[in-house]
Amino acid sequence: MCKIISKYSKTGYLKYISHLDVLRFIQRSIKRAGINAKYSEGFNPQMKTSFGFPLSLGTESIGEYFEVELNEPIEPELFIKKMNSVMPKEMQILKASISDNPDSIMKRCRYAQYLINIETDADVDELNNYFKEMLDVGVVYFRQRKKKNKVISKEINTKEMLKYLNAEKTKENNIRIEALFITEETGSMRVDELLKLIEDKGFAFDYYSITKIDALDEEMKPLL
Amino acid sequence: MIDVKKLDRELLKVEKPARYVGSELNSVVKDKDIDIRFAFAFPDIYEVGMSHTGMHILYHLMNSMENVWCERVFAPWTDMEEIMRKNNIPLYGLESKDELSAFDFIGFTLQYEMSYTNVLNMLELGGIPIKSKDRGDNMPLVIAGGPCAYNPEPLYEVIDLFTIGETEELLPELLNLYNEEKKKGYNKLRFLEKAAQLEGVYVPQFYEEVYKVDGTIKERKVLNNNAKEIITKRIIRDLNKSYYPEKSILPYIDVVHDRVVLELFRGCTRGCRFCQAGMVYRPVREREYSTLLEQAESLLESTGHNEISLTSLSSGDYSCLPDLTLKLLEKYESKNVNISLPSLRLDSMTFDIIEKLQEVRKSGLTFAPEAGTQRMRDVINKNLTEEQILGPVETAFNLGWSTVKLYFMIGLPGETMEDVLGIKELAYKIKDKFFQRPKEKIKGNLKINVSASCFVPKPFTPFQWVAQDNMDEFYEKARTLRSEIKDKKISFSYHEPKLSYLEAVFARGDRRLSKALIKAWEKGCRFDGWQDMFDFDKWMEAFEETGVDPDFFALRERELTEVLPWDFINIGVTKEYLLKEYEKALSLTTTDDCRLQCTNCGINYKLLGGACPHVQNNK
Repeated sequence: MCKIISKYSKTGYLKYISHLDVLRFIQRSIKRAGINAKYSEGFNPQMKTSFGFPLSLGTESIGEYFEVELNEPIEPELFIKKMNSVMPKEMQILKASISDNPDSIMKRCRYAQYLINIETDADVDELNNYFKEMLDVGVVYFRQRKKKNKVISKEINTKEMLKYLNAEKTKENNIRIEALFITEETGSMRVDELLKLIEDKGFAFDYYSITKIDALDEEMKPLL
Repeated sequence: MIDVKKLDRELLKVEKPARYVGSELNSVVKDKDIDIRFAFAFPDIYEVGMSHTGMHILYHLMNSMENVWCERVFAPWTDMEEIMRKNNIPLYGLESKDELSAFDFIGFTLQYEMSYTNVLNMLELGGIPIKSKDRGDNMPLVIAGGPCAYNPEPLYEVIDLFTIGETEELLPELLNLYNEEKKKGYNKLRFLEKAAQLEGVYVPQFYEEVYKVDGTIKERKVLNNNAKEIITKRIIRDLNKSYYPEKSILPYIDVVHDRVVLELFRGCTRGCRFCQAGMVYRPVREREYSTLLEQAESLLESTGHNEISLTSLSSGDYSCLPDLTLKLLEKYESKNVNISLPSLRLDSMTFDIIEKLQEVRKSGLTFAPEAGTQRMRDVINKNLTEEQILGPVETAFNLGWSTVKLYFMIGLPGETMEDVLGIKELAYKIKDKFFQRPKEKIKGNLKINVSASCFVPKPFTPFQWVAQDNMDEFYEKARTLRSEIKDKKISFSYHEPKLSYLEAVFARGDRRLSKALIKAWEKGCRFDGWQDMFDFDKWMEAFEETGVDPDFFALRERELTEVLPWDFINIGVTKEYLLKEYEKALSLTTTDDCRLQCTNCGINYKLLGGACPHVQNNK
């Protein structure tokens, strides 16, 4: 048996494709590429793949991961070449290697690194002061979700969810935020929640774009 | 180009934004600096439109032309429409994000009558006047084709030009003509006059409908010398030589039919009297086995689909079906590709095949007896006896199936309550077949789903003259069945009679319906085919306010001598033949499958589609 881990991108309009759709699309791409993947047994055989944490709809990424089990070994270079010839330019395999790590991608992934561009004339220093508060003191907010007819509220403290935050002015006079979120299998903070906190604090902005840069392991190194 | 940043800001607010962004694998992006920009418009949501094989064929056909860029546009769902209107985002082509008004052609496919309000809505959202007369030389040409174009009149004010019949050859002719005209300096009227000379093109503004005092049609006047009196449908003579794409666009989101579609043949020899497709697609033309195998190969390669669907009007009639399915199984079974056969008549021959196909999964089986009693099945010429229904059902039970879906129609011509109750009787007999077997053979949990749709008389069928049941009759029949079917193993559902009524109005309507259609759309009617969106009261108000009597079109029995709104279209099959079939229906006489004996339907008179392969059986 051979397991391949790959890092892929999801850019442009593909940011509107949901996690489940991406999963199915990549499985089909593996099929189209003529790669001999392993399937589960049983009445409804499924291709043996596993993915990282779902990316929020509307977020671009150059650091997504999946693993696939194969029936026969393949050179990672050849895997990349075959896959990229059947994938659109907005979704390409960036790196691949043989994987011998028994832990799942989700388990290995401890931090998620993001770049957020916001079109605003807000003061960068003020924003960084607020970020400092989030990291050192902690800002508490509530995540509400409806379950049947009840609203369930969950208390979240930014201090436990964020590792690093920094804002800087760009050449275009916008603000770019670099953020490092702590990702746990039990859940993590979402980028839109961070943006909501920023907005609620009085930093007005009109348009923004979010790019996930990578998923990092416990040593703060990219998974691949 | 529309303001894509504005679009980007709003898209996360709608359900399934992937419907509105394009960028799928195998979709075509060309340089905008090209002779002809064509928007293929499907007047329903993305998921429905993307499941339509015809769209995939024509999209790639047009894009195979060097000077044409064909894009797609679908009806935005109501949430998206609201956002587009609020933010002034016009409807756009998915590939280029250019607004519809920037195109040379908007080409609608008319698959069902209940999509007409969406046609109007899409034009307006694209910044295009909905009426042909309000669109000058600087506006796109709005054309339409598809099965509903066989009675184009209700849309005569909206559409500049209809294509009648199969368009794989006609569309390129039309586009080439347009290109020549454009080079000379485009003038809409001159183009339409030239286009009207092409076989299969209907330009409604060149005609006038004149009515009698009783509301029926007196005559049709030809107003322009370039227009033909009779429009003859277009047909592809040789399906093996006709265009079929090697690739198909691969949607990211789940669509209705997510599979490789192979079209085995066009046409049908069965001659069911309610079926429009069975008449207008004559004669039967098969694709060769080798052609289909090649198409399967390239389509699977380009899409990675898990399923091949072998489609046609009656797939079991394909002459090489056993060979084809076995070969496909042999080639693709190991690659986890399933093969499905919709539209199958179940008889012993096909059972061998189905059993092989379903070795792994025993999904539900679907039968369409269409009517409950032999009398009614003879009226509609279904040519199916009770034994021919119960036999295969029993075989299916013995092979391990336990879920059966049964399709019926209510409101067929001459139907009595006894015939309606025959639906229940048949369902109960099927139940008995399940339990009247040795105990050790009875496996699984029996589930029979009976579903009844309300009969809609269609143009170009032997029933084109008949009155549709009124809604009270439909409701009474449906309620009777509901209360009579009491068995826990049998469930019953029926199609909404109001929707079928409206469908019948438009299916056999004429030009006078146009104003009611526009009024209904102005009142907010859209997605009328969607049960939760359909607003019958608004429609009735629209008829009332425009002085149109919908009963006149749905519930009136036509005189056999009456001029029908679609009489000016020649489908090859003659009116005399339809009339003869209607009379046979009334006298409960069946007509053989025309593979057994030529029934002299007329398709051979001018050899529209080449010689009918079955004519040699003529005595």
